[in-house]
Amino acid sequence: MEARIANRLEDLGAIAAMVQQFGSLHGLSEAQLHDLDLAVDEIVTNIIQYGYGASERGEIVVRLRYCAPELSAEIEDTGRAFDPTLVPPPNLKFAPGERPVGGLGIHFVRSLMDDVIYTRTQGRNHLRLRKRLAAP
Amino acid sequence: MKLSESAQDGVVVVQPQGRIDNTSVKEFGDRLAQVGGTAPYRVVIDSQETSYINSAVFRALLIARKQIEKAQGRLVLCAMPAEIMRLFEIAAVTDAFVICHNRDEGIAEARA
Repeated sequence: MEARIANRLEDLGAIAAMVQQFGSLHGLSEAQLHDLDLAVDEIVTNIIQYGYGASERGEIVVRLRYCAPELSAEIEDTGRAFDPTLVPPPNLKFAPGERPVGGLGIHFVRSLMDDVIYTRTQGRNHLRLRKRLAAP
Repeated sequence: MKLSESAQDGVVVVQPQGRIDNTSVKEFGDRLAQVGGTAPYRVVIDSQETSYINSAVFRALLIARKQIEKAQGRLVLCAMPAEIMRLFEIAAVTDAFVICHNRDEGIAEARA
């Protein structure tokens, strides 16, 4: 299943709708669907917010596959090079009052997916997220 | 996302329904800033009908928490679905918020 959107926040709904449709088609559990939804949302949102200049237009492609027992999402964009696997993990040991308010998105993706693989080829970022599902 | 709001025993209860992502988090954060900036600064967020949040929502919640605590108020979260609670655990912020099982407990905690 594939969706192509412009780098606009208002297009996020099309990706979320595709993930829901994909979950229904393959009978994913609520937790499995949630994890896929969140991981894709965090990555695509990050691309829209930071991958392009203010007036720059680009395309983001999301492909979802299910080949038991593995779910995968491939996300491609034409924005500036960004490897989320190199982002250092957030420091979660702050006292509640001192906790920084950012940096959780990539942490969620890494925590919820089994593999996060980044490549850059021909001016495009390619990110592959994989999640192995437990047997029912 | 649809936001509803009610007042009970001097506490404002904010109930977001549906999905909060980057298309709706600004509205959510602005609403929290408004109720959290108004006396008596006691706010409960009832998430029983919230289906989805992402990292941007954590940012909004942490900002609201800071604002309300600065005013000597109380921000309480309640009725969080399992998937949302799991994100709080992954983010290691369960200790940063008062989290209750249901709205009544949340209101009592906000008044404490």
